[in-house]
Amino acid sequence: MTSSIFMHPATLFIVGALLLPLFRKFNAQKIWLVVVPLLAFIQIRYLPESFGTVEWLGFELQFGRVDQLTMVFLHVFTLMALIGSIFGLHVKDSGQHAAAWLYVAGSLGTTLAGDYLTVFIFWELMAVASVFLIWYRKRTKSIQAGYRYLLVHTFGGLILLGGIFLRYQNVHDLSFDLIAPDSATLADYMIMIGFMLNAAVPPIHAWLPDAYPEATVTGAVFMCAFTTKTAVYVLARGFAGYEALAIMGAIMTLYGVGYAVVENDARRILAYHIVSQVGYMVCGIGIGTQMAVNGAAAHAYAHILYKALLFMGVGSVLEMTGRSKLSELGGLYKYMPISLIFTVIGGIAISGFPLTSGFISKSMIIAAAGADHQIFIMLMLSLAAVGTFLSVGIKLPYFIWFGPNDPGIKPKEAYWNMHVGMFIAAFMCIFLGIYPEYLYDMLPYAVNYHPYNSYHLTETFHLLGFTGLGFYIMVKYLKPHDVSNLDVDWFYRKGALAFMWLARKPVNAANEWVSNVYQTVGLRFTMAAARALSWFDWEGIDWALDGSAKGVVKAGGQSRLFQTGKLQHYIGAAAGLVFVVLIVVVLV
Amino acid sequence: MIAQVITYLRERSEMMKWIFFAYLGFALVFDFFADRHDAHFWGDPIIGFWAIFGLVGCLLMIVFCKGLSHVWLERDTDYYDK
Amino acid sequence: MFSGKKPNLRDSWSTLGAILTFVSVLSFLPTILGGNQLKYTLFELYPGVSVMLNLDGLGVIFALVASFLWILASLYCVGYMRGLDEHAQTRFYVCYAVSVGAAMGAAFAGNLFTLYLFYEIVSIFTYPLVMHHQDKEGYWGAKKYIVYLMFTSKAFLLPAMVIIYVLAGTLDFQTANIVQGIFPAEASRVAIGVAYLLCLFGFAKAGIMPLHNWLPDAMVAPTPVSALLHAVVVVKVGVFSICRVMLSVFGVNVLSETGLGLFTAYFVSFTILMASVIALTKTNLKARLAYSTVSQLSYIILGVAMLTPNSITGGLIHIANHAFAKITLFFAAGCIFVASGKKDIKEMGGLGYRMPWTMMAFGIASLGMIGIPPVGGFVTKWYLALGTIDIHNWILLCVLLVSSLLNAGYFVPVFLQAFFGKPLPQDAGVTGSLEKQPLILFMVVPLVITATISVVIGVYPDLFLDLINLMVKS
Repeated sequence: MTSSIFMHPATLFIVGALLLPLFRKFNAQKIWLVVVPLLAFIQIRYLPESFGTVEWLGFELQFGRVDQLTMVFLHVFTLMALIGSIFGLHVKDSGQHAAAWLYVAGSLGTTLAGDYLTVFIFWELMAVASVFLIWYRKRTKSIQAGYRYLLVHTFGGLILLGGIFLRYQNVHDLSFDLIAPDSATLADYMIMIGFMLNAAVPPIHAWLPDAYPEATVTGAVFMCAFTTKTAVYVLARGFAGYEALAIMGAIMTLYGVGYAVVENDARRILAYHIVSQVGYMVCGIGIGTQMAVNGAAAHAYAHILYKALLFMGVGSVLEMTGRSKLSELGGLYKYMPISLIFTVIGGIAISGFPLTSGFISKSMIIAAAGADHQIFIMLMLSLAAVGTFLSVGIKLPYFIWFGPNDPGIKPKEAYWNMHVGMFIAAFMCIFLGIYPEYLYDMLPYAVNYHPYNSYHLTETFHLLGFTGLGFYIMVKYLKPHDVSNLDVDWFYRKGALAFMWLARKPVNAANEWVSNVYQTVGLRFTMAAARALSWFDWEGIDWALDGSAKGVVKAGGQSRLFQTGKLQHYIGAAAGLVFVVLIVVVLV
Repeated sequence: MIAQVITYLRERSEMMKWIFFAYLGFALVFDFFADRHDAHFWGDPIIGFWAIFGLVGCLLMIVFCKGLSHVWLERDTDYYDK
Repeated sequence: MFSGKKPNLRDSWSTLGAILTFVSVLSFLPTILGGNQLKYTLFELYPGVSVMLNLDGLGVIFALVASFLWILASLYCVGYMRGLDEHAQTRFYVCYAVSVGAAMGAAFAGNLFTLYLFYEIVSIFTYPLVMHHQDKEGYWGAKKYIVYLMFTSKAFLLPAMVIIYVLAGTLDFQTANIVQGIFPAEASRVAIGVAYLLCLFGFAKAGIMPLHNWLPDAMVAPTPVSALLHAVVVVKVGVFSICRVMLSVFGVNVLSETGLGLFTAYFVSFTILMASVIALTKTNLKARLAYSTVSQLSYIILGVAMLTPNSITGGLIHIANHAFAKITLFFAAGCIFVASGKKDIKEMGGLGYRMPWTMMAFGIASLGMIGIPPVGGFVTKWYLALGTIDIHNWILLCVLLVSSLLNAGYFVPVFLQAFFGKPLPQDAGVTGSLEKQPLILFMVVPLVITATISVVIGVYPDLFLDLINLMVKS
């Protein structure tokens, strides 16, 4: 059975990551960086339905479980690994690539897992590997952000673990399948919360806009895709149809897009926007109908590609100019036009322009909401689409590449490999828009949705056009300033400072006090006892303790410290006490 | 080359504006011919519903979010380090 | 002792002795795994009070771990002691050897008196080791050390032994199972309770708060002492003794009837959490590791105190998991000190690039302490958590989860500083591996081995699980 572990795509990435330094030594790192994800992309087509069952700690772990839902995610994850690796070809440091690949391995492992314990193992791998993608940026702010990220994810992982334990106690079964909403217990909700943290559902979402802007340029491209979409997968697998998810998802879409409209740092805008888009997916899962889950999966697929494209575009600006704040950028269309084109393609795709992947995926969820007669949700999602186009489709490219500012920077165009990565993603965005069946055939359920009908087109034309009008009217009001907005992480960031103050002052003081009690109580008692008993058997101990006593004398001989003398008596007294006990026992 | 195209277009911003408004008009007209048999809710059959939704939604969102930001949530970027 | 003038010969004796000890323990393994126990009485002082040895699963785990780690520690000692050109190395090695030997004796003790005897020998022979540097700090730390340990053992353990002897008529351990204990059914519950509490506080080497402060202050000792003895042998003797007393003197039945088990579980939870909180505030690496040890030891007691097969498994397997991980961490701290002179985490910025193997091993061992698979600590946390579920105790489950978070809080920054932190101004720009000198290698190799083993026993814990199952089956 262990041989089947080798057909697991995660193994491919883990081994690949470990061998990276070797390839670097022989100057073949770039080739390896392309070969491994490509192999994985091909490999997933040949996976059997079930493989890699292992016995551990008395449980049966299933490392490989494949069905339609799994496949669509595996497909896009491996494709994304390829794109990300290509985008990062210029990075010489093997460690960064290794971290990214271990992260991918964690994601693949979670997606293929058939039981909760396996999910947990790979969940932790994802968290630990991805934090390096933040730390590698090496700025003080990044290091602190990464530390917070790790603690938050450890916390989420612990809630997940707690839920898994409790669930095991309830049902004595760890297999990972759909949990019917009516039979969900506290344990299952804990698992769901653990999943929701990774999916960045408010109020446990703040780690995302805190950490993603601090990641490395290439690292952020990986991060935007995997953690949240793996969480979407596990929610789709285990919690489809939970009404709470539908409502929270809808709120999420607006929450994220609201912040995106007012933020200044380009990557923070995109990070909040991830919250918004994942909201669509969570909402779709919550609605639970076949069309809704299809839509969530389709949107996950499409979103990975266009969000990565956006991160790549903005990332290339960061790489070439060193800046990511809109207030410090502007007028770059003259210097980085190719990046501009790709970013704009990403922007229109995410907004759902006809002939792009957004048109055929996001709207499936909205239509599913409508078909399920959840009108309020449908309107919320549509409003979020307005905000999406506004913040990411117009505002973002406008202020970076055009804009009223002229900061006077003249960057070079991005590297060739970055363009290749962007090209692949952009190509897919348009390809799916023109030929949606490619994606639809991969979806878990049969697809009855036909995006290209006149109503949908007119709706989209109106929505986008008039949002554009709105931007045009308000453009001066939207001018970016170098500020950032508070979010719920205020609570734990301030709270942590308070906690550390408590730990340093009162707790340490108490510890020191306890520590010194021995001097008053302990020492006096033992010295008194020693004096009382030192006459008792001074000779008797020599035969047993001569060696150590002499050793102590020799060692302490040079000093005239008070304690040494006492200690002689004391060791003698200690042994003496032993004999006292024996004698007491004998007499009794 | 792309940069030249864009510069060319930027110099003709009046023309761009007219193209844009023409597009908006086209969209409204197109709406008359759109197929509405599958109405999900009350707004569907109304001509130009989504246009107003888009415009008003956009404006409200900007005002609300920016307002909230200015009034309450806005801080310096090094707020937590102080 | 006789090779004092020839350092290489002397150090070889030390390593040889360690290997011989390990091999002899190993030779007992098949018999014990087969379900048997080995008994041997050295001499009898009085009916019911003798010096007697008895090997069973629990003792073998402790002995295996301690003797194996002694081999690695003796190699490490060579690098450390010579690297710092320490004085009185002969005295050091002799005391070291006797201390580990005494720990073996405790592992194999067949009754409370023998256990106590070897426990005291460990205290006495580790005193010169703590005091080794013979400076003001050394004397002060050693004085505190010996007062804590001697006071508690004399004031608490001796009366406890007397009470137990009076109640049970013997001090021999119950070797047939862990539920019965040695008290007859009509023994006074109050007396049993008093004796239990005296034992709990008498074995101060287990570091239960508030009697834990000797440990951080004993860190003035050279690091091989801190590593093997204060992370593995000395503290494990304390914890082992408490476990032994809980399982083989009192027995699961008595402890659960009287509620002493649950009481202990809650009591040590305080240590687990508080010690982790204090560890967060310490920037001296060894101090941080010392408080971490205090916290982790109480996991072992917590596991046994919950009195279910799962929780006892978790607690006992932590003897092994913690030993390997903690010794790696201390070895790393010592290695850092010898190679670079640094003791404080704040000074260790960027050190990871000059000592990659050391810091990677530190990272892996940290993962184990936090409880992330596949390193050993996860197995511990898993069984402990199952134990809390068995007794339906959500408070203890929360204690486990919160403490894991705290562990992450104080281990991660060390690793972070090493690889992503900024070096001190005077170190900036200095590159070049610190690990390549031969003496340093003596230290790096053992710690890489222990880190690797941590992972191995995390993936294949079967050997220890089998030994524990022998005990727990009853």
